[in-house]
Amino acid sequence: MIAAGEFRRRAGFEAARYGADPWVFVRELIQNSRDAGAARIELEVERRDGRDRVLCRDDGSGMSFEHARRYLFTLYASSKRDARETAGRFGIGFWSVLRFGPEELVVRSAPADNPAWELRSSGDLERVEVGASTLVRGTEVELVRPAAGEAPEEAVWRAVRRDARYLRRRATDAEGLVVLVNGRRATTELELPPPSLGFDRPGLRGAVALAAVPRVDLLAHGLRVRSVATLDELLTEPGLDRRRRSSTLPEGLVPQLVIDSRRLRVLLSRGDARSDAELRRLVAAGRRALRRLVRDELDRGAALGRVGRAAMRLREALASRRRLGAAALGVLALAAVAFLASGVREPQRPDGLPGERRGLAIAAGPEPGAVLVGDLAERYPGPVAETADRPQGGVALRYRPLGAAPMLGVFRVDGIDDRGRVVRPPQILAEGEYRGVECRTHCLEIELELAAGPGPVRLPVPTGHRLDPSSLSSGAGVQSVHAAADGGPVLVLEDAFRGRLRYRTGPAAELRPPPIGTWPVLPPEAAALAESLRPLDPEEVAARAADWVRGRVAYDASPATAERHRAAAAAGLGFAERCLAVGAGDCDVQASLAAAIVARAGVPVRLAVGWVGARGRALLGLHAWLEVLGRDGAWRAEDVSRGAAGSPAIAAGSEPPAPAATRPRSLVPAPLTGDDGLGPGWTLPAAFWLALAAAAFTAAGLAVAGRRRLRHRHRPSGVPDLAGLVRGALARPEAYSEVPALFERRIVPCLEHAPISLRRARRLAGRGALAVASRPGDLSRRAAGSGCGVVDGSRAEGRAAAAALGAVDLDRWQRLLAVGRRPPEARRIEGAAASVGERWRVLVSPDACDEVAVVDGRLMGREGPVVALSEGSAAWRSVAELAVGRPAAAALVLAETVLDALEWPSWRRRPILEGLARDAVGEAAGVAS
Amino acid sequence: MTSGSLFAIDLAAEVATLCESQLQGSWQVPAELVRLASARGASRVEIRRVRGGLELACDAVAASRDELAAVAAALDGGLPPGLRQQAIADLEAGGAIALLWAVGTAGAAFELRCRKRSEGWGMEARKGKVRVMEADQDLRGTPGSRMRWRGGRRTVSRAVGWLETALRFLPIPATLDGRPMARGFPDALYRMRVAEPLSAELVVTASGDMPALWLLQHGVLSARAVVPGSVPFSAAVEMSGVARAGDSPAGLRSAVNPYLPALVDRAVAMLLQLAGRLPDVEEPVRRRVAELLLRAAELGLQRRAVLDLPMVPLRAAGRRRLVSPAELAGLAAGRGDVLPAADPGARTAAACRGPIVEAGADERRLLAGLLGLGFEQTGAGSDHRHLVRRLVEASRRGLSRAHGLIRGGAIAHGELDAVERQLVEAAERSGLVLALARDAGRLRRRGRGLVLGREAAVTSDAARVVAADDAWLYPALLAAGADPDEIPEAVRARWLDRRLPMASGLEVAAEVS
Repeated sequence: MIAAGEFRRRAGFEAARYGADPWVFVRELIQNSRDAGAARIELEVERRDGRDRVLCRDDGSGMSFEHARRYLFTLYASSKRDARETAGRFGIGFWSVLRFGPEELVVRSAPADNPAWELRSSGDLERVEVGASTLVRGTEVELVRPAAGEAPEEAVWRAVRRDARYLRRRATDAEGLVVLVNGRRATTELELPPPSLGFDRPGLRGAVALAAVPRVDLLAHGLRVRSVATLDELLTEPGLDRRRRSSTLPEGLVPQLVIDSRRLRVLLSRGDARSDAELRRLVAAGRRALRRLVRDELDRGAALGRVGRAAMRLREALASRRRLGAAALGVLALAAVAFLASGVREPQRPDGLPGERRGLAIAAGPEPGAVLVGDLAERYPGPVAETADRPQGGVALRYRPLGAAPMLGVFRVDGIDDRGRVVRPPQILAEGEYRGVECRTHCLEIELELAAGPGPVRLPVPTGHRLDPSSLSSGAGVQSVHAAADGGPVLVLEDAFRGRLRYRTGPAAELRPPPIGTWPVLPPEAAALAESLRPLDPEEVAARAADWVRGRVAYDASPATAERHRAAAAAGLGFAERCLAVGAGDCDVQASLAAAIVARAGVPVRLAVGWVGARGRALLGLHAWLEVLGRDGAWRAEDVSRGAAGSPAIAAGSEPPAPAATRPRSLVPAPLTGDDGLGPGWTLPAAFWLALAAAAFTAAGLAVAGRRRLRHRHRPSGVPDLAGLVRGALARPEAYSEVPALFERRIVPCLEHAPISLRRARRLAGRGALAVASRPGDLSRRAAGSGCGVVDGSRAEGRAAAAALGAVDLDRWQRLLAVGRRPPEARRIEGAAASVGERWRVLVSPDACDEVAVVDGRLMGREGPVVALSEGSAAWRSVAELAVGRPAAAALVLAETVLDALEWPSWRRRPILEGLARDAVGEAAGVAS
Repeated sequence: MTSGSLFAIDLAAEVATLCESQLQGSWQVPAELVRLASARGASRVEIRRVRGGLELACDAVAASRDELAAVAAALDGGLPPGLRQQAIADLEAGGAIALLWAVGTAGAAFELRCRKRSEGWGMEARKGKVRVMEADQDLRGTPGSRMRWRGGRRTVSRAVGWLETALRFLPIPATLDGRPMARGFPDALYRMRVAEPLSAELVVTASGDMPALWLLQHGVLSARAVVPGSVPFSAAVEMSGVARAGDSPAGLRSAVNPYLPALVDRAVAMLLQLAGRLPDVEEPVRRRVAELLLRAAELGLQRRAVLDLPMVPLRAAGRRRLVSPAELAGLAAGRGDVLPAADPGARTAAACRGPIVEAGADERRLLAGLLGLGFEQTGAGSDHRHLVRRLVEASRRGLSRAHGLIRGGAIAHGELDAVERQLVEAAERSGLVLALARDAGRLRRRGRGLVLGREAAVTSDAARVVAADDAWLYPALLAAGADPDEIPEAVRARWLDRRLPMASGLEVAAEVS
């Protein structure tokens, strides 16, 4: 239980957060009324009999007393905390009434389905009376205090105009909420004086105008949050130094905005909004509207029709560097995806026969995983060096981690007879449960595409691994795992199944070390080798045996070799003898011969048949390798066909999963083509990234297409004030930094040539090549002819640009030239300059310029500068006086004057002055003598 | 009905509101903890990035036992509301609400260890659960506090960024990962400390067109306020004396409002004080101060004083001095209210004996508005196309120096005739080393001196005119082939003065002599 005093202290504390303004409660009462769905709020304000009385009445839904007790009279409790359409959420706003210092507080409410009630409380909340009320609809809050401070009606009016002027109803953005202060409507439509542009879309609205003073009002749910000078300021986190130059000086037109969002998240005192994505969206919308308004004004100023406007938009769109940048980014992204995809494309088979499938000859149907259906082992005849002209042993199998290089065995053979036939075809099902392993580390996650009817299916498991039965998942019900006769896992499907099997395998030791099986009789040479290997570790035995076989039986799966094997068998040669006699064979021929040697050396060994894993998938073509049992009880693979061109074999002998990098790249076999569902030549990572990129592009496209567009309402001014815009843009380019059209459009009228853009005008002014003239003339023609800009000074926007940029006044120079003359001294120094390759024109003019004026000659259509001396200037008077008796000295003085004006460096002065000085000295010497 | 049975406080909602709706985000919490340390008298703060968070260490006791207990009580839903409310109120009143933010922000974990002499206490908080630790051996040691705050990786990154900004004005040394943190305004040109009306550092910054107030509490940034329509100075203002602990940025902006006029007055006074030193300051500072003063004048602040301050560079006859806007207005009056202007540093032209205002676009615009005059860009083109001639001139000078080395043979002073001696002595009086040689060759250079061939016609003419009037030394040397920049300015001015009496309002020659 909280004591009344404690409640009041806390409520007062929170009320103080709203700042020093005692009238801030007006906003909070209006906000509550709006949130209650009011369409009309009446504020009655009076100062009478030494009392200030404020009554706020709305026609909203009202609230039951119980609701008020739970939320209104419980500090921080808010029924609107997570509601999107309401402005209130903190549960403290109502208590800002304490800022008013009321001596009496009355709340009345009449909900639709509950009796009306009234609460009357003293200002200190100590005395409270609750009773029935005659109120018919809505809610009333009445505050009374001793009269103090400014006139309450004016204060309330000002508070409404400041904080809630553009309020709309909660239910719909389309209807304004009527707020009356003593019968006078204080709320208006969200509009700004022309030229302005209103914009809205659900949840967001605003208006932008061009005015003399910059201002941005940020509203949430129609209630003011902050007022700042520029949009950038809204996005500046307090203190982060991202200041942009802008100005408050009353010159030209600057942007003024009001922006309102229903999704803005305000902070506790409502004086700030969270600097989040919604605020950025709001600011972006304001910028877009400003761009549009300025463009509209420029269009109207240029009297563009619809076609002209469309053409202008197109031109600006094409010129927009941002869009070009986005397009370039898109192209880059596509290129990156293409590069990525090409980077993971498997290399061609070294034998250069893409699409030709070689390996063990075991027939399989077109269904996914068909090779696994039925008993694969039963169909395996043994190492007979056959080739097949039918599809062989493809499987759609993916695994993780991608870096592993497992030898995925499907079945194992523990003996070959001397004819090269499997001694004891392993039965698919043995008695008993499969004994799996619970994998915790070095696991391999496998995903297998399968289409099979009811019955047993062998699951590929890497050499040295066992299946983790708990990991088996197919989405097709529970399957039981049985043990095959060779110890491998067999899934017994109870129904037809088509889909993906996922399972996990992990390293495990052999449960029961098997006896050494029956293997072909070895010729003496091989037998001797085997005997010599006996002392070695099993892995070493296998490696040496494999090397020995590689040296004598080359990998060759061609029909010719198969034929030679058949012929040798027909001639009665035993398996080992005929292998050595032919000197070639495919993978199971090589592996079987090596296995025979290993077995003879006393090491448990078996022939494994299955697939080679590379980069996350099983490669095409069944393969055979031998497995030896290490001293630690784990099976290890030895691939005898390693290094053979055309073999699907991969380096073996490592404990799976082994890094793919250990493999010789030249031996990477051909990938599955066409039958793995991934398309030709694509591996799983490429498909993944492609899918991701496609999804990203699709999402971006949908986002752009689905973006709710703003509706706009343009309020044009009578005549577009382009001069004001020009002044504003040149005085404060930063205020229009997001409006490139203002600087790119040709809005500066010119004489002698087409209008130029503000950007070009600024550039020309920076080079001293911008002039202004009020009418066409000789000078303007010459200036334009020499590449200078000649602004039309008879137009307001031309004058504005010229004044802001300090353009040279050609009218003035025209007058100077018209009355100017070239006295002999001027011609003399022009000649002196010309003799050293310098060009200048020197004039003496009786016009107003009482000293010296210099202009770049380009503006006169000539080379070199033009210098005009006033006839009344002290400089010219001295020259004129000297010229009477000492013309050479006069010329030297004049040259000094002109060179001072031009501020030429010493190395440009000397050649001109030397000759003139020589003449002057000679002249003086003559006089002296 | 009693008020006690009617009015209530939803404590859970209160804690959630206080923790989540007062800051822009949880990334502001570490800076608030530094503020707490600063307020508690820390003389240094060390911040380190640790895995998933930040560790802050200071040499002050950041929180008392009672405050930690208050944090625990505020979050303890099992306690009576009155006690919880009292705990929150105590934290706010004691300026320790940052502890509640650190603990109550969603997803944050917080540890605090405090040591004071032989005592120690601490707190651990995770997922809103607080454990207060009483003294144990680990907590004892050198007085100080160590805090560890954890947030997500992005939050930590943003928190570090915020710390780098918020601690710029911390009155005590602060380090981040062992390195001192940046201090002060990043682009300050001039700064001044004031104690009234508020403790503040006023700064002239290189950019910004509006007054930017950095509002601090205990030296840590809380808010930034831009005040349109005033002189664009910057200020870091300490608000802890006039604002409540935990006041929102809006509250601080509101609190500083009454002091703004006085702060602006102080800033203008600073600018006026700085204006007296303008001739001595660097060009960027001068330009910025002049611009700010002109803005102040435009706003009606100290307008008369500003218009009489020499602040605008004016070039005349190749020389530059600062003139006041009022003086510029006077000059423009005789020129149709249009003055030639050039951008500062632009190698365009100046008007001989007449003025050219060296002002950028902003200055020109302000001057034009204040004085009601116009500016016209002036220019004589650039000389970048004369590279060959420049090389030729440089070679000529080099050759004459080589010539001077090969053919020395200066005639002794005693062997000169009277006229020649006057030429040499006139040069010596002007600070030039001049000698004559026994030939008719062109001018050559030897060491720092010039050598003229006495048999050359120009030398004898030069000697005669200088003997008649030594002001003719300037054209005599020019005629002999000396470069204008080899001849002292006083020599040139002396000759021109005789022939070019100044009538302009700009007595530039007087400056030279």
